[in-house]
Amino acid sequence: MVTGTIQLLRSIYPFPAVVGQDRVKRALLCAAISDELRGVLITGPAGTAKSTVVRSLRSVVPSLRIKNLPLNVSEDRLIGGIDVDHAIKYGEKRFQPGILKEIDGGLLYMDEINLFDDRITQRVLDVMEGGENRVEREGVSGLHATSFALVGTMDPAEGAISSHLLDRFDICVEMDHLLDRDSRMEVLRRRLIHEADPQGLALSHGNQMAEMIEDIKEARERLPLVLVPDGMYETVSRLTMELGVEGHRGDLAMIRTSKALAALDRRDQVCLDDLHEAASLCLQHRRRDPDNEKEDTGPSDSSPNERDIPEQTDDSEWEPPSAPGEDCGGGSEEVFSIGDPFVVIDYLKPSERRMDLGKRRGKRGSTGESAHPGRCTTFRIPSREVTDIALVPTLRAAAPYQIQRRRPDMAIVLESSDFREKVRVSKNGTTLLFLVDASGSMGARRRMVAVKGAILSLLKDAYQKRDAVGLMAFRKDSAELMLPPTKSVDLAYSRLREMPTGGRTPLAMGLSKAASLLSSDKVSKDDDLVMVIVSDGKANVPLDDGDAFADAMVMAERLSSLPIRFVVVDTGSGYPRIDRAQRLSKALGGTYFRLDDLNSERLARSIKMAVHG
Amino acid sequence: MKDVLLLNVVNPSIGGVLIRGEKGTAKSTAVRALAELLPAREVVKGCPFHCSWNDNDRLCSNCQDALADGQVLDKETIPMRVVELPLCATEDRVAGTLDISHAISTGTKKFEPGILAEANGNILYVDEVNLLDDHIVDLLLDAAAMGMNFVEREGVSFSHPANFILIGTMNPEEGDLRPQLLDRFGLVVDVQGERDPVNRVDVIKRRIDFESRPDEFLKMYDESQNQFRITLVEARGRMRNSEVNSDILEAAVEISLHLGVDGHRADLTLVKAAMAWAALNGKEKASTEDVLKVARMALPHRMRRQPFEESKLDIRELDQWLQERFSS
Repeated sequence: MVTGTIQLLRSIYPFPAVVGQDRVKRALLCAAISDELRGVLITGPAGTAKSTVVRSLRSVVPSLRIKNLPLNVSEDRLIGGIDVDHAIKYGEKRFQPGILKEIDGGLLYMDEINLFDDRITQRVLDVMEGGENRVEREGVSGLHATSFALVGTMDPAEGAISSHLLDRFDICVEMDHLLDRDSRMEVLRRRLIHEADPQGLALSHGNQMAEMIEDIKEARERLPLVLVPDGMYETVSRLTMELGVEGHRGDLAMIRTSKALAALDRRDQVCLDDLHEAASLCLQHRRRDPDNEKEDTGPSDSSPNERDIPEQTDDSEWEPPSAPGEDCGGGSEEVFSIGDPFVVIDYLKPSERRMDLGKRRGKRGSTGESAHPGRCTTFRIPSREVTDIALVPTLRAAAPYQIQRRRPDMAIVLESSDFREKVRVSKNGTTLLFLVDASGSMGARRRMVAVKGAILSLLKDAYQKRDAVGLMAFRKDSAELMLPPTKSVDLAYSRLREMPTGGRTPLAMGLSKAASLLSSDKVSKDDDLVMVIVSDGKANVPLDDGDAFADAMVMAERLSSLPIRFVVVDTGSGYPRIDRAQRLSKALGGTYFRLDDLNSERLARSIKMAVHG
Repeated sequence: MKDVLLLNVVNPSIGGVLIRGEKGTAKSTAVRALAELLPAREVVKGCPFHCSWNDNDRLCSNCQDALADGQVLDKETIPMRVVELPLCATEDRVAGTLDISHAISTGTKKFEPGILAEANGNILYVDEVNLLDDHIVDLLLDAAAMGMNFVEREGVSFSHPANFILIGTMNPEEGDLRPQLLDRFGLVVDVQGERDPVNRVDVIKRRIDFESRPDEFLKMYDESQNQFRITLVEARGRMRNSEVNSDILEAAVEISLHLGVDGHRADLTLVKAAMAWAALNGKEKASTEDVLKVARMALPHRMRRQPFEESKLDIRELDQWLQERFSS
């Protein structure tokens, strides 16, 4: 059977015809000549020719087999499984290797690597690093050696790749933004020629390609002879230590990449320039400390929250009073602009979950097994009656016994022991309801600008994880649902922008309304429910005539038994710090954050200060 | 909306259309009507994947095997059509999977084509594309990226061409489209219900007319349909013969730079759409005006660089800027 190996020879874009992108090209060439460099990750926004450049590699390394790993790959095809044909014919179980064997000596290409099932990516990386694939499944065991390079491309806007997977890549490069006019025109011109007349473009770069093919061949031969001067090892380890790189993979990748770079430049010895270049290829994604990177971006990046308080005075929009006679004290009504967003810490970490809620398991957005349709990733031997039969695995399980069971009236004889059922995973949706305190106290010292900035950041976070978000604001005498839970984060954004501030603080009422919304039919019952309460906790509107904050606390106690996770973001600032939001969080059994702590950069910085004094 | 759809017929590599608008604004009707105007195409005879007859670089596994065996692939001409991707489609139906009945009756593996196979060379129409499941979107992106669909599951390993014009509709109030999928749509058009009462009446009358006596209704438009088809064929011819000139390249790049659009897809779409637009209007050569004309279709959905930045395309501002930029 023909495999999916890319055979589009004529339509391959010529490698030298790719405009710019020198770093990406160098990275790919390193991987092409070195058998020790295995993982290359290329990141960049959509439409920046990531896949084009990867696929074009073949035009200068004609012997290279590139195999495209599709997103729909199933485990049995990837790692191998039982040889069904053999099983039916001879009644024997035999291992049939999968793609990981077929790609031996070639290059595996994973486009959109961040969208793959984590298990698949993990497996590929494990095998790539270990050089062997050990399989125990479907009653067969198999073991084979395999050696291949992996190139992954991804758009960070579509979601991140976890850092332990990231670390496994030797090289990680970002696509350059081509901003000057002439290069962009050249990109365009060549692309159009390529589409109309691929051979024409290949011919016009024929000499360059022929040269490169020779160069690469030569570099491959030279590489084993390249020497690394003794002092270089020390330089490398000092550099990685200084940059706070964890583990030794970075050091190894540095040395290997430097050697490949030297070989590409026809040198027999690694020099400092190689190290320098290698560092930019190998260490960017391993740095633990984002501060260094941010320093040079100037003050615009630092602490937007505090900056906004004294400065911005004229870019807020004043909302005309919406209805006469509505104002009931607590100062005037104002619509604040939205402060600068930031990267949010993982504020819904599994460790901060309440474990006693039973039904709500699994980390946020993790894949949980569920009854409703989702991606079928694997199968299992059913424990009870089979409802969701996995036909193919069932047939595979039955295959070896067909010779013994052969009956003239049936093509295949299945017995109950053969049945396998599907294990479906669907991304657990998360519904986040933002319950925002929009009372007058939040407007003090333009705190609302920062608060909106923080909510925007949380919205962005929700967007990347494709959560549903809703927005409810409480102020004056009631809580108002500004946006029912929706996947349209843009809509949430515009509601947030329009959200006015002013009036008193009916906290208890807000809590009760928000909880009843999350318990209503409007919210999918299978979703993880999270209520993010953004407030300073200074309640001053009681439910009846009692104490407003006491009411809120009673309400919180009551809500804590609901299958909802609570996150309280304390917007209070200044001294003495009022611990009301914290007490509220405790009563809810939720997680407590101060507004400033949500900022991942700042948090990193404050932890650093705490550690280093 | 009609213009945008026609541009894609003139040059299918523009990359499809996203139609944004409320319910009941004849989105689906327009797309289905488009099928009538589509040209025929030459495919490999008997191939379930409709491999293009003259494109040996992109053949399905079967045709590749046949070629390798030294067989000659026959030609057949079939009409293009609109293939619909329903929202409830499962992964295996979209990408294709193992043919179970074949496996059971003969014990050998055979690939059963999915919707992507059907869509090859045709129009793939997704109503409410923003409600499509994430993992189905992933499949679409994967196929659209290469123009090929690779299947590696359940013991089958198969590839076939999946080159299609993607047409999607969405009601923006029901949720966003992922930026990557958004970027794959060449052009975008916002439709609104007809606001003019006279036209509204006309719309309703025609619809009722059509429903009560469809045959006669179609006959009424036979003439103009035919005329239209001829126009399109001519435009395609002009398009094929026209050369890319530096003027429009420069205009496209300048516009993208001015608006801060990331990636090269915007530039590429601008140029292709401008050329198609010129061809459609009987011009031999595209000019900067054509670029501006299509800018309002090719750019609105690419304006955003961040999910939350306001993504409004100010046509008047752009117009003025272009005037100043290119008149000097």
